[in-house]
Amino acid sequence: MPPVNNPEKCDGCASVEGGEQNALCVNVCPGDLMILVDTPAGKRGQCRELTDCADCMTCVKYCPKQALETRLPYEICAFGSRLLALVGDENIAWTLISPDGRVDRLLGKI
Amino acid sequence: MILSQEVRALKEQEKKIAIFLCGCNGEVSKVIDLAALKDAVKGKAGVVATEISDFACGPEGMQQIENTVKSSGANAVLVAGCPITVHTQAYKELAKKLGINPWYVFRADIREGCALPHKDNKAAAQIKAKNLIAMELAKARLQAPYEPKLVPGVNHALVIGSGVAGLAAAQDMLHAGAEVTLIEKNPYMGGRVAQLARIFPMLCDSACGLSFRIDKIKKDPRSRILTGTQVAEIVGAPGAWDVTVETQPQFIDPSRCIDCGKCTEVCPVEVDNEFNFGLDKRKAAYKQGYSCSQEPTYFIDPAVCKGEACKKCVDVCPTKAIDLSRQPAREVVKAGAVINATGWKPYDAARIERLGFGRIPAVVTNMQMERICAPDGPTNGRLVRPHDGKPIKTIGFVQCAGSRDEEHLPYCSTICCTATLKHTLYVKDKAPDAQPYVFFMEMRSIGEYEDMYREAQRNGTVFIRSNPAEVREDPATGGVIVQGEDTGSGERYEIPLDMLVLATGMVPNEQPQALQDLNLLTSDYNFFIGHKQCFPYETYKGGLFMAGTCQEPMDMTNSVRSADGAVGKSLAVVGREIEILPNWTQVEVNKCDQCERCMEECPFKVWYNEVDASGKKQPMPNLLACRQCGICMGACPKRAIRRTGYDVFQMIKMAIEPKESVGENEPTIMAFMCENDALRAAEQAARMGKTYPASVHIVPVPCAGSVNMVVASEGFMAGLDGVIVVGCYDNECHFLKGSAKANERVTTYHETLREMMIETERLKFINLGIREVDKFLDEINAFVDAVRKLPPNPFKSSKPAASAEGGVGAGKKKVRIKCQEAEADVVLSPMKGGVDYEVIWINDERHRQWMIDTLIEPWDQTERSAMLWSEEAEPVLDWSEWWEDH
Repeated sequence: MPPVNNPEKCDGCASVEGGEQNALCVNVCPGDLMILVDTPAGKRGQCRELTDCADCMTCVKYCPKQALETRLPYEICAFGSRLLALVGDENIAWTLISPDGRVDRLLGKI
Repeated sequence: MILSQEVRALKEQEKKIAIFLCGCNGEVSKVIDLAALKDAVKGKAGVVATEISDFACGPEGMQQIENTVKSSGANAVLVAGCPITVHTQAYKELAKKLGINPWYVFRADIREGCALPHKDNKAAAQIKAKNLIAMELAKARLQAPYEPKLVPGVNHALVIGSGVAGLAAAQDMLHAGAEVTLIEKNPYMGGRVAQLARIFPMLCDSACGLSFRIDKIKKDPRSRILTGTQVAEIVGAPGAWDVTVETQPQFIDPSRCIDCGKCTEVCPVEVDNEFNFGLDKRKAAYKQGYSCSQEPTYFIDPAVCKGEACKKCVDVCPTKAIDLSRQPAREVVKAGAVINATGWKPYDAARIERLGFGRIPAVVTNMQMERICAPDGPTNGRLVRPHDGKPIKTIGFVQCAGSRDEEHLPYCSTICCTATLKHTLYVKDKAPDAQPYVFFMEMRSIGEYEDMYREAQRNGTVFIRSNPAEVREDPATGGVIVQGEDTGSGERYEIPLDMLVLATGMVPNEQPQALQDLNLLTSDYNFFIGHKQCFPYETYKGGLFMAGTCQEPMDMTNSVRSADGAVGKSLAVVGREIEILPNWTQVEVNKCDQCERCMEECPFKVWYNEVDASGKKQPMPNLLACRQCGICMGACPKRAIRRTGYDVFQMIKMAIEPKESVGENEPTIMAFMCENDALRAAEQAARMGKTYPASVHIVPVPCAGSVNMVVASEGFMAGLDGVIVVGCYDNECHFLKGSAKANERVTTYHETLREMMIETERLKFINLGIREVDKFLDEINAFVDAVRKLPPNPFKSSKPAASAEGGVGAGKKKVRIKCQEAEADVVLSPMKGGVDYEVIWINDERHRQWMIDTLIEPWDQTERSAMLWSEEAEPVLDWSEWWEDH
């Protein structure tokens, strides 16, 4: 269930000093799978090895621009389903959007 | 530098809150039933007493508060009544009298925030008042107390520039008890005033005032004067500046110089004398400054000295004071405040080609005229032409030479007209038969300088309203002929003059690179105007103030005044101990991910990286420079940044507090309004008797930029139907970027909402000016209307506190669903596979389109449309069973 980055929302956690140390997804992935890659618009986050992703979804939760979303595998949901997170302080709201337009929401604690 | 390393545990010290519901002499109580309100709030957590008062800020009301606090043992007071901006004095004094921490007096605004604007809907006002008090209680429970934070200060000030403003600043600072280091770029002190002959309006000798000040400063044991010195580096914050200053190599040792002048006699290098604006020459070894300069020593100009190749002065010096190999010296000055008084220079008159300066020797500038008339100038004060010694009988002055001119200086330098009037008085004093002419556009001798204008007219100066078209040299006399049109009479004139003086304008001196790098607030013409109307001393870096003509063209009086003002501003950060402003920022280092968003978004560049032994960088705020806006708090994605007085967690708790909507089917909306401008418009609307929907609950915030979007997330998840963020206009934001940042964040958040299929109408950013009552009402009404058309918050529906009616059916089922405040009749149909159900019909128009769009699977059209309109739906499903299965 690897994360997919929306390059228009991601800003590479652009910082005054630059560098990969500062991107939240890079810092937070327990498997060190997130990297920043160069694009014409600047640095953007990307999962470097989709098959290694352990599906913890920490990166999705912590992205400050909510640019990451999870694509679910067929075992769980129809292909093309998207799982998005809206992260609060103590609560988190998951939204599951199926390709047929069905929307499910689930509230939980962080 | 003082750092904030401590992780501050929120002082959830047991708060015992006494609530006072103030009827405000009927203003509130005629709309809100206080007795019912009391019953609603008295049982809330943390409340030890609840009283009703008719007039809480009056003497009886205050006495009631005092009595209740004493008898209930409360340590915090919540007054529900007027907003925090009124009767502030009364509550401050109350806090002091009762020994309550000043931050433990809470004010819930149920007057301008509830009773006044909702007087047409008492039922809603009642519920909203309860909500507002509950919100204030939520904030109160997390409130940290006010504790002054003192840091050791430095009782030292650095003054840059020893012109009249710098001297005034240094003298005032010493008088106030601080130590002062005064640095000056030139080898002499006194700046431009040292180059003047006399100063207006009293026409006294400028050397008098200067030597008085210089003397006083020199004699004070706490002062240090460094001439030939400039700023090389500047680092720090108010209260803790580290300024590296560099002194030019002192080839002549000042402690050995006996003022004999032999070095000058033998020096072979001759250059233009800049002190006399090039009217004569000086040597590389020379004595600079006016004839009664306090500085005794001679000076060798390292820029033009031939150095080891010559050495004539070294041999001839009787005390062996000269060493041409000396190097520049650097030192670090630690100061609490820096006052920059770097002054001005004259505009280069050679650029005004038609007026002939630079090609015609008889054309001089106003500053050169001062040197001519000064007793220590190139002509020893005699009114003669410097280039050929001829006595001056006719003299002209051209005003606005290169000023108020788009091709040169577009602005007015304010003093040149008065200076010219002074010159005409010099002329008449030195040569009573001489004839001065003044060519002017407008005479701007403002205020009481008008007296000088009258005197100049009385003593025979001819004023011609004209901008001279041409100045040419008269080879016969060595003078000039000025030609133009007198706009008063309409006649052409051609006037021969012995000398022509151009009244050129003032340009700020160039700053050392170190100061330029600070990107301070300058005007288009490089004057340090700060925020011109309200905060003329303002710079991005607090604790660094500008004084004198580097701020804008001004006369001597105003230069001195501005220096006095700069000292006044500096005294807050010069001294043994400094109190940090109370709402300071702190970082919870455990939560921080070092993403440095705070560093980028802080408009005042207050954040820096603290590097520990292992090289790990931790962003920290410089508390002395922090402006307490909270924009960093709004930016931090991990909520690692707190602000002592009012922080993001309090905002979250306030946003999620309202449990009850103000009316049936009324949405619940939070409006975060900047307390500087935007909130005032809302208060004003209420006072003017305007009404708006009660669904909107207002939460004041220090800046729109301090609102973290997590507040919106938590709010929506808790069931809020709408969130508005209201900030001031971008050019009126007190914190420069706050409103713009809030707007950006809301726009990004809209993207998120859109992708999650939540209506973006639920969140809006609005710019509002302080008196824009109509705009406030229009925007609020439009927003509430838009939200009313939306179905209830989707997160509300996912947490049904539901009750269902009806029995079990088969196949398609009609149910009434109540889900918190939402209620609808829906028809459910089993999905393919028979496991899940789907909504295929719904009675409430508001919800219908939304549910059709998001939940209904494409079906066979006939079947669906038959169902949609059928009234013969089957009896209902047991909703609870359905939910258990799913």
